[in-house]
Amino acid sequence: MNEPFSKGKANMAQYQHQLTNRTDNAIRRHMRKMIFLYTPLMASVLTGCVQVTAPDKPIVINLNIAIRQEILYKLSAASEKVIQDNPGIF
Amino acid sequence: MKNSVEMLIAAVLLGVTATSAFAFQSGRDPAYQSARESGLVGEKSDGYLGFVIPPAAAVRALVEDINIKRKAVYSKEALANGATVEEMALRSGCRLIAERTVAGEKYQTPSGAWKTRDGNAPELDPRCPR
Repeated sequence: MNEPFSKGKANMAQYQHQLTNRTDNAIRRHMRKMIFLYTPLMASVLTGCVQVTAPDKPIVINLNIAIRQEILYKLSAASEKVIQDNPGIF
Repeated sequence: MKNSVEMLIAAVLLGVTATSAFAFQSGRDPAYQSARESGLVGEKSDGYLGFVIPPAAAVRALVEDINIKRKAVYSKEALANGATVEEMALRSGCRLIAERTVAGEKYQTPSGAWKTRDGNAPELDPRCPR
């Protein structure tokens, strides 16, 4: 086993298979632990995602966010003018 | 003599007020005026007209046309005053409800409900300058 690559094709393949197998087993053992650990967690996450309920009230979006109070005071004369200059539409 | 002068001043003032009120009213399209008087449409607190009841096609077209024109003049005046169109519209809406609606006409309260204007002060948006 000290010189694995000197023992011909068949032996080399077997050795490689052993190596692979060992790693594979390690991964499997680890995965088994992982499945036990994460399955309940994943299930809870999934159910959390699926349960989407529509609100029973209409969604109201307030678009008046950009009103500056001090500007409203300054617009007193302007609003008077607008209304007086356009009697047909007010 | 003093009394008669006061009476004369009062009469002139009354006449001016009545004339300006009449001139203001006569600037409106008769269909618009009657839609206001019959409560089909009302002043919203945001400076535009709204439908109190679901409108007929003609009323809808009339109101949408007026609102587009209002937005145009609000935009122009807002630009001249460094304000946003919404600010200009809201400020004008305050004034329109407080000063331009007459008894019997509809206006929208801050809660969104339609009220008929009467002799009392209207419910204005809390942001309206007092």
